[in-house]
Amino acid sequence: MSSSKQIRIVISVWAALMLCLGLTIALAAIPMGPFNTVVSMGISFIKAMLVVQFYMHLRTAIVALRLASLPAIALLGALFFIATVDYLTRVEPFSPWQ
Amino acid sequence: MRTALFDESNQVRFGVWVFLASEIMFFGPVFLGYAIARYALSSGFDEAASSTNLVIGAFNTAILLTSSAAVAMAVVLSREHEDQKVKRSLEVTIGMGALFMILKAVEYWQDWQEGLIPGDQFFLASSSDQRAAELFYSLYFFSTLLHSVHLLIGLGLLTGCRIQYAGTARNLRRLEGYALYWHFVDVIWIFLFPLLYLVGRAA
Repeated sequence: MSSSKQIRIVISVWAALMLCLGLTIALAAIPMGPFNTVVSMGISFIKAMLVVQFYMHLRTAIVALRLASLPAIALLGALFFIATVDYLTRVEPFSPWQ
Repeated sequence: MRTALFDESNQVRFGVWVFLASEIMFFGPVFLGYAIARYALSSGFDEAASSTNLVIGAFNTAILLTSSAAVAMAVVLSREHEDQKVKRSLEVTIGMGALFMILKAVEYWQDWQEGLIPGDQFFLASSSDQRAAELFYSLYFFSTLLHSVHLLIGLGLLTGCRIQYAGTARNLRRLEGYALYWHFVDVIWIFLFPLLYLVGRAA
């Protein structure tokens, strides 16, 4: 890939990130109930993917790099799952962080 | 040539990615704690979240995203051996990072003035549930301070990189490793921003 093309990618991704930022602030003002969080987290995920794939070059990285952070994400997912199941199935009303 | 794939540049990248994986484990539980606290104290928690300074938060997000673009630009330029441009890009990155910290300090000072530091004196006038508000602010301070510590370390690393930068192969590898870390700190903020500043804004 030529450097002028890569520079164009950096600038285009920056513009997309700014657009996402504007969008997420605007959408936060519209009452959507629980979907406000879904929408804002969805946009955050898109922004994170833009940074990870283009700025951190994961898109063109060798397989070892693409796999490096997966075990941590999987383990964290398991931790989230177990903790969530625990809290959601408690009969007694709980106080957070106990 | 199988071995050629795993050259020194990829070794550095791999090392940084494994380190970032451990950082994901470090930050992850903060988000879990947030989710559980918010689930338990929904309305009071959301009320407190809408009292943060959205203008500074949004401005800081834009600054951090721009600093990420600048360091990505530095990496692209370093491969072309445009040493002077690399240095300028790094200076922009460091300047943006410093501006982020200054604005964060202003925000903390305002929080201090308003009595929003969790503890005996904590009081949020706009809140109907002081306990939920205090828990939100505990999370707010813990997550933003943890993020700020990471950002300060990144600033130190990038400043060292800028001072020593002479376009050598070693310089290039270091720059790329630090850039990966800087992007990671940016990604953490991408998720913190909506949770700390945008929750409860839809009235």
